[in-house]
Amino acid sequence: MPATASSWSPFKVTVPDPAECGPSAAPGKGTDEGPLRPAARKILILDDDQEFLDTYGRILSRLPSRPEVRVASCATRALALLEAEPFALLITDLRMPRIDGFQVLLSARRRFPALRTVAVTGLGDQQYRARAYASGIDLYTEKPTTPTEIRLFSECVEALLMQESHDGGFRGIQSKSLMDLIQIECLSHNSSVLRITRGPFEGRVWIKGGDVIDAEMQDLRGEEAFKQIFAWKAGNFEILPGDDRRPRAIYTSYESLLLNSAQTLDESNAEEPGAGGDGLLEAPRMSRALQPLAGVRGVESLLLVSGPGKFESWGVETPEEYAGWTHRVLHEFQALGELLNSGPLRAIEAAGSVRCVVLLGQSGRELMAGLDRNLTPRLIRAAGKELASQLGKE
Amino acid sequence: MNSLVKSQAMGPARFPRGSYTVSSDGGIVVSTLPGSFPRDRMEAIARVMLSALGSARELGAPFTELAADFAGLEIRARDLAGGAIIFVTPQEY
Repeated sequence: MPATASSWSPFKVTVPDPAECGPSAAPGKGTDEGPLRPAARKILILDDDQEFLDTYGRILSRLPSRPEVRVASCATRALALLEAEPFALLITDLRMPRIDGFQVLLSARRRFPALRTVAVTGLGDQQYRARAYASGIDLYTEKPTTPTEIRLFSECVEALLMQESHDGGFRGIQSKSLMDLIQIECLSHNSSVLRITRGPFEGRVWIKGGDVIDAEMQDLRGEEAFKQIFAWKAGNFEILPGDDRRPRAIYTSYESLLLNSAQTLDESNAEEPGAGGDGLLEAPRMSRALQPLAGVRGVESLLLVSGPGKFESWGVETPEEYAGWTHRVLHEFQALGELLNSGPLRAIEAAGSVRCVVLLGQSGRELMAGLDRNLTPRLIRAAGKELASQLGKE
Repeated sequence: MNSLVKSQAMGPARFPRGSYTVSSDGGIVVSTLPGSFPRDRMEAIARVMLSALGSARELGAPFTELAADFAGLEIRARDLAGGAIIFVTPQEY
């Protein structure tokens, strides 16, 4: 089968080797392609190394496509940001405390199939390569350290961002289901192998002259494997050349096969509403009460405590612990204010190399808001006032 | 005149401007605050500041700066290897 543009998933293109980023990926390429959609230019970098975040936040924001770069120092915050804003590219470290990069990649790939992903690792992490590629990443690379490595890395990132825009003409197929893809191949009487990946899982469907002849997923073969693959709601696919040597194991027509699989899937969904217990991380959902607060400029995480053990959070890694800390600190400072007769406590600000937070107490509720640590003191103060105002409206 | 006196009594106290350094155990090392500012108040501020910074550090959030904004006073602490330098600034009306 000729390698056409349609032979790749429109929502996933693999860049197997950074070395393949040749002249076409050089900075500057694509700047004459007209303005890109803002979402296509947003990069999220996740790493527990603040120095790496600072350095690559600066470097990548200067790429020719001028992407907007956001950073997160923990997985929870990264997932919250992914949920809140459309990103084109996620760059993540693999080794991190609590929740590692693999878990983030699996969750991100499931929830945001269009998101391109790059895994960066330190020296000695090469054993992760196969596992990382199996999770469907676009690029695996060691953390660049030399000027040449940094240049190559930047070029690859730029190339991935450019592919996002260049592939725009084919992205309409993104809404197509696996059923649509198989129908297209069968109606065209193609001979091909559909390679479908979903997180760490890989399945294959063999099509010969417009008939589905076999399927494979882990230990399953034939129709069982086909049904299993068919149940995947999102993922990536690649259409490989047909394999004439593959023995036929499925004799049902593709129409019946699709119908049977759809029925099985419907029955399964009816039995298990909200099924999804595949061990993947759930991206944090923002409660209605937090939404107006999240709209305040610079806010990256929120924790609203409304009573003992009662809190809502967004993007906070260990909310129980921070809820206790927030309550203690606000209580101690309020007591200090009474002792000093210094008037009501308006806000507490805390800043460090990793994070910056504002604490507010109002009408029996306590708020800890994580802010972009690059905000100036004036903007932090302004954010605190705006948060207090929003909290008062609730 | 009566209303003026009443107003002052109801509002926050007037505070001096200055700073002082405390060791990690809360002991005052050096101060630029006037002697009229009670020492026990300085120690109380230091205690609360060091406690908040220390408990944050235990949570894995090592803050280097902490500021409390009261209606009549701003207190700002900068971490100094477990101790702190604390700035006391009256709010301007």
